[in-house]
Amino acid sequence: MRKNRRRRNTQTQSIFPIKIDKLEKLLKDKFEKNPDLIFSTFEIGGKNVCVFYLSYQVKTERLDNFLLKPLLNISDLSTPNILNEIPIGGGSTTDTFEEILEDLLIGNVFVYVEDEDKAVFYLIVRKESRDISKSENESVVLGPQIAFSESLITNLNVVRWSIRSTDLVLEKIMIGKRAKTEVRIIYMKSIVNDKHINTMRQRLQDLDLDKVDDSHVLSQLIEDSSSTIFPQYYLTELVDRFSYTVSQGRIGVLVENNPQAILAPSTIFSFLESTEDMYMRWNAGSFLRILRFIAMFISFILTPLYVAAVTYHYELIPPRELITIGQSRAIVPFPPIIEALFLEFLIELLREAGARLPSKVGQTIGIVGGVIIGQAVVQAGLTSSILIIVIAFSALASFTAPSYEMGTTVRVIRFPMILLAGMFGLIGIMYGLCFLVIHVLKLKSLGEPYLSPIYPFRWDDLNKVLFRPPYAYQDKRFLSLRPKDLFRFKKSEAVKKHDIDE
Amino acid sequence: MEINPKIKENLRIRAFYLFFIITSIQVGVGIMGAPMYIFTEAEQDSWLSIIIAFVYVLLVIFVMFRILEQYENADIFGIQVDIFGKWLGKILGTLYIIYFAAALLSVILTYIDVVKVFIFPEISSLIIGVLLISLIIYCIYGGLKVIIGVVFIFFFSAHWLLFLLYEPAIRMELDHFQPFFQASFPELLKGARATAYSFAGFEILLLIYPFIQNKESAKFPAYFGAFWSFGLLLIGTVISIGYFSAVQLKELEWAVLSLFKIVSLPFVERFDYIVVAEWMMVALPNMILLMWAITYGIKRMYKVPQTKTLFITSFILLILIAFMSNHNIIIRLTDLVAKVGFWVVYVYPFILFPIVLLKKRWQRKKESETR
Amino acid sequence: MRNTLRLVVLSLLLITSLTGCVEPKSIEDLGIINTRGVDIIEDDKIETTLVIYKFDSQNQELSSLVFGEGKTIKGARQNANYKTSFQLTPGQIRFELFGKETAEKGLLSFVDTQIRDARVSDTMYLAISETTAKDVITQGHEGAAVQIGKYLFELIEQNVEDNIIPRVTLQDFLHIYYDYGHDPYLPVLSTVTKSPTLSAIALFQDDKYVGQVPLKNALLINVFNKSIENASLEVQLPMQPFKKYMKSERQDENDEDTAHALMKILRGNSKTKLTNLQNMQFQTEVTFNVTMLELSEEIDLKNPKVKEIFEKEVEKNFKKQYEQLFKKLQEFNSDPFGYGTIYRINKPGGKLTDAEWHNKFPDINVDFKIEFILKGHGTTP
Repeated sequence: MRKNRRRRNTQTQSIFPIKIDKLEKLLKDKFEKNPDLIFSTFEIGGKNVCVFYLSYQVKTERLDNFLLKPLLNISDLSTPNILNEIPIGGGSTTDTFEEILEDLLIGNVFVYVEDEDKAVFYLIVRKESRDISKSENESVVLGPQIAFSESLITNLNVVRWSIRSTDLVLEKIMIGKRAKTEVRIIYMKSIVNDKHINTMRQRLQDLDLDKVDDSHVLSQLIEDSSSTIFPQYYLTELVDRFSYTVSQGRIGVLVENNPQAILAPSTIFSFLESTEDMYMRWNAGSFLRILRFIAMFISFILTPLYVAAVTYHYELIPPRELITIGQSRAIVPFPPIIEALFLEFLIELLREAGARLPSKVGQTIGIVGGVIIGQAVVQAGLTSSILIIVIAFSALASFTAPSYEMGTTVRVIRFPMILLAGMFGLIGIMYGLCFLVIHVLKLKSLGEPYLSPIYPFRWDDLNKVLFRPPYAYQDKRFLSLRPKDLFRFKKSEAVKKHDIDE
Repeated sequence: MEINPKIKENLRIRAFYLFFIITSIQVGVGIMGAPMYIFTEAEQDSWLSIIIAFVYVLLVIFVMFRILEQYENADIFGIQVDIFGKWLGKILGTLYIIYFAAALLSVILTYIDVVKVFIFPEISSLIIGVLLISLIIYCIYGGLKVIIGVVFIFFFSAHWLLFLLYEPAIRMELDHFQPFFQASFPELLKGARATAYSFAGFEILLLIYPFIQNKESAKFPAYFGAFWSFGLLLIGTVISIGYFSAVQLKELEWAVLSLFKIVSLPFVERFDYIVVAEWMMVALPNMILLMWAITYGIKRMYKVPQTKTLFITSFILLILIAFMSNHNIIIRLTDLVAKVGFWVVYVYPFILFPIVLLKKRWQRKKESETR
Repeated sequence: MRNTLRLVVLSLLLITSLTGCVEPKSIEDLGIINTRGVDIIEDDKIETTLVIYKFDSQNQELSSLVFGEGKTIKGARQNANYKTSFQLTPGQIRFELFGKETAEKGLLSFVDTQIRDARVSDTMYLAISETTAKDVITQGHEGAAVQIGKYLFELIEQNVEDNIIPRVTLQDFLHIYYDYGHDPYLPVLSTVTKSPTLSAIALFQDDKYVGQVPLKNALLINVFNKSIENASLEVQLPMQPFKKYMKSERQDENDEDTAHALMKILRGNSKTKLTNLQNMQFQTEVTFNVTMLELSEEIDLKNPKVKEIFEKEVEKNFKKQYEQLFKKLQEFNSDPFGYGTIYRINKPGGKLTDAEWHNKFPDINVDFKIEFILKGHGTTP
């Protein structure tokens, strides 16, 4: 990309050679009312030299010690000589005004000797970022805790360290017309399916917008279907998850100034698997994964079932529960659907309030909400105590999703399901389920079916999504992604069995 | 109209899915009521009737494959035009589509009827009709791939119902089957014919064949699909005969659903409600495939966009559903579809087959002469 | 095209919402019938006694009684509905009790309409009341501290699970009734000191009550219809045959003529075959595998000879019981064993009507062969 642009720009008119006064005027015009442009002129060996940069984008100490000091000692000032004598690597030259402007912004220092036909510049960037820290939003118990930070450089550094391979490609794309943002497409070139790379590159390059705000926004800009509620790309801040996914043959996208990486293509199962499943022993890992599937199902089926049973199908309730449910319902003045919506709404309020408030206050809200309000609501006779349990159960279940977005999706889906159950009972619930299945079948993530490998059905991939077998049996990468290299190792050797006492 | 439609590579499906297509379109609402109809004819030897019917179905599928193999990549519409000429071929094709539409209507009406009997006696047919048809439209909009996906997933999400049959199965009385072999051969054949409605549907093979990617391995899934639905019908009928006494069964309209009435688990008292709701997942693939067949057929013959036919057909169906809520009308419609289906599905291929063979031989002769 | 789709979906939703939803039946608005008693009073009118659950915030009383009269069961429910503010619904009926007089007139009309109603559970238990259904339910309701509906249901369920009485749900009753050559049976409830208890087994000819046999015979009938496990069994045996094997030192003290044995059936099943079609000669083999729980006299069962004699004695005892029971059944002309079914299977053509069988049943001969196998004798010496 960069090369292309340079080639294009060399064809435009060069502004050099130019007098230093004139150059200063040009620059000051561009940075009008911007006091930060430092433009200093020196006279060295009879030649006028100017050095200009943006003050806070540059490390002043380095500038003084390694650029200005040696510069003053150079006897014969010419562009090649400067490049030779200054003890900073990565110096280059330019002759167009546009490029000067662009490079000034990202912390380059320019040196121009009057009447030369090129300006020399060095990257002495100063970029502030917070230290990398523990992941806040995706918490894991086992495994590396390190999370991406806002700095792209740091992130790239971390990624390189976690996948030490020349196979790893970190392709650079600049996005944004008015304000450019650097985006990196990261993949393993000997594994990844070229179709995916091309699609992703195409989608990123075709974006026509002023500025990318955030990786979430970017992921929504490049997704396949924008009308759905399901997230189509997994956004992670966990480095281990990122490197695992990329090494499996998927694509990761890092966005400048964003701690969240986009993983593509993602299936519905990506949102339900946690890296922890890998770190656990295979049986415990499988258990946790299946637990999560059940939790998701429960979280959007349980409250609707309660509403349907209590509104229409009292026959469904076993006799023993009938009395408890009936008695707790008797004091409630609303129909079950209002009761359920009210309580769901309350839970969502608590969650939202807990998320928005500063973390210290947030905890208080949790306690206040969970204990006091719950108690009071039941005592006031606004909801039945059974429903409190049902709703708490399904809310808890929805929080088990490793992806916060998927958890939110499931919680939102619950509301139309409750409405359907309140309108048509079991038939309504079944309608909702059928609709969801059809909807999910229609979805795609980077052109790959969202439900893969369930549909299109790939037997070989089931062991990676539905449960987790011992590592000796995970000899293949995702067949449904059609990677260039399918096999990770030879299974026959991994599972070779010895006879007794051999 | 081209006889061998060219299907884009990305629209093709693996032959493996044919199993699910055949099973899903055969097992729909028919199986719920089949035991009564079969039992009325063949009494305790109904299971023999079902086996006879199954063998016959295999024969029909075999003939269908033979017909299709004569062409490069044709479906029934193309073949009919090729054999009978443009006019007669199109008329026959249209009749085929009308048959599909009637079958679709009867499936929807039967399911609505079941919901009304078992869950909501007072609900209006139109509401369930709208619910079902909105799902059908939404699904068909996704194209054939999504349709097959729905068929595939609903196949698995409905089969757990089989486990619930354990309870009635252990209450079966073996002496309801004894003495064996009492029904005369004509009675057995009549019983076999009573399965026509529940076994029908595999004629979709004649439409979907061009879409299959690896045609050479399409046979096994098709036969196995028929075997699977045969197995389900057999299980349903055998358990019904063993569980209900003869007099009861002869008057029991939805015998298979009634089997679930005694199933109860600690957390759900009455499973029949859940089963009736869950049956939507059994009936829906059936409806979707039929609707696809209608819209695709019209597109093939008259070049009308599928979206247009989809909405027009849905609208007409909704109107019919609104007016045909009487139970007797539904029964009569189902009978009619079963009768017509018998000729269209079970007899017609045997008439078509020799004609296709003759025509092909004649063509080959002609070719060699011109050479 | 997307817009059209959206338009259509919207209009469909609109139609749905306009036509309105289903009428809700919220649980707190319902009087959920739990137990129903049916009696015929004068002029073929039916009186139903309903035990209902109602969930009322004002009234802590959970279950209450409602009475209704009408020509049909549904009519009576309608009538009862006028007397309560709750909508009475039949979907959770667990237990239905019929008065004796009602049962004598035939139960089919009541039972058959139930099974056709998709709302009614097939697993509800049926029983006959010694007097009227109303009596048993009202007395129980006033007397017992527990909820009468729950009590009655659990009383039957417990005894069915313990294999003391055969399982008699709605579906079982009808299925036996409709089977050719098989007559149904129901447990009989009576009130002793105000709390309903199981007292006997009612026998039916077709759907009409014809008589009853004592409760201990229930096991004998039960073993015909299924293989039973874990039921207890009490027998009375004469001491005479054991006398010479008694432990010598105790012999003098022992002057009892009979011994009582309490056994547990590990597995009991029966096999019946038709030995002679012309003479309608049947042979029934009943096998009990038992283990000893309690023995009133000290009989040395470790001695193989004693064990053999013991088994013989019990077999004799049971054979007598079966023969007595069978004679009674022939008197009532009621066939709860289902000999008719076996006759039908073996009869050429395989057809038999109930009326035909009732002509033949008093004349059939059954040879009972009882086999007792004492598998263990627990901790008793």
